[in-house]
Amino acid sequence: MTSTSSEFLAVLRRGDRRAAFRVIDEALDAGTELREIYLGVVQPAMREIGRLWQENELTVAEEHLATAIVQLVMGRAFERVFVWRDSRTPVLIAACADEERHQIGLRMLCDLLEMEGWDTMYLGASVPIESLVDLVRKHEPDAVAMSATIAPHVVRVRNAIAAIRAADLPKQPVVAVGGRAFLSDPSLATRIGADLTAADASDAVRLLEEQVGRRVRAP
Amino acid sequence: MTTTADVDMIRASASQLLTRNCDALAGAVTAALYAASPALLERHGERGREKCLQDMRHNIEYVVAALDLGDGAVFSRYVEWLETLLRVRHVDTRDMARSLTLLQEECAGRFARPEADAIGAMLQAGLHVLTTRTPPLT
Repeated sequence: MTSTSSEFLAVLRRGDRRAAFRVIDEALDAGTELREIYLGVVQPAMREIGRLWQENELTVAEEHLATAIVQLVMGRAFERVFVWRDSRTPVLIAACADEERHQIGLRMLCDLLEMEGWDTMYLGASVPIESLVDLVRKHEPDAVAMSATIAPHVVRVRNAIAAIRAADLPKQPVVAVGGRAFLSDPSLATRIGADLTAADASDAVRLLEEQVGRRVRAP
Repeated sequence: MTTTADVDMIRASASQLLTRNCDALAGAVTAALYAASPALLERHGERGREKCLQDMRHNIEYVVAALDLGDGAVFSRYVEWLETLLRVRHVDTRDMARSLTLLQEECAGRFARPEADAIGAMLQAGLHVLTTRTPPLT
């Protein structure tokens, strides 16, 4: 973990929102890119927060507080660096299916794709599968991204993919999956019908650009 | 001869049975755990029993996921994760091994052989993790 990430972790553990803003503001002022803020500062700190909860060093409330602060920090950092472009393609819908609530990875993915000119629809936590499929039908996205932290939620993602595949769509979206459940076994992704999985949001951006971005933007 | 399709069908039906009987199985395993060691009630109280019931439901949910995904490693990874979680909270992980064995026995007593065996295979994958990590049962 970098020193900035350790400092960020320390303020998250204290639940100190103002200090968290200061750490990220200073990093941005020093010229750190958003990708590096997300993957080099926020992600290692949040993985550590998860581990500390598992080790009984943090309560659920403290973990939720850290998550809430991180979401505020991300919104702030994104607005500081984002420059609106004309491009609104490709389109991606990102959601935590059913009972899944770990949404920060998907939010990182959406923000980083926006930086590449994508138009993303970030739905956040606990989206009912039927409702997700309705939205896919309505907007016909080029890609759908879903995450799962625990095995029972992998089954929900599988059900969501099956429902998307069964929907009568003019074009089937590329389905990307990620989250801790797929980190421990990436082969789960293809077994549940996904097109791709990635180790982190940056890796997912690269794969989605390769498999979707170039094709959609091709003249 | 058992084909892949047969195995999938047995797993699917085992998963449905577990889901449908989740509360009854969790209740039976909790009751058996507490009947066998009254010390549990002294150590963790009534609230502990409630939490135990919840944990037993979670265990079953993960066996269901392992059956649905056709992958015993799904359950053993859960057991690894849970073992750490319980150990740092000073819960005796041998109780966890007992609970998985009891669940297997309950399923064997209630369900037809193929389904009970499919469930047993997943539970054994989890128990294997515990026997390599914690001292043997006394």
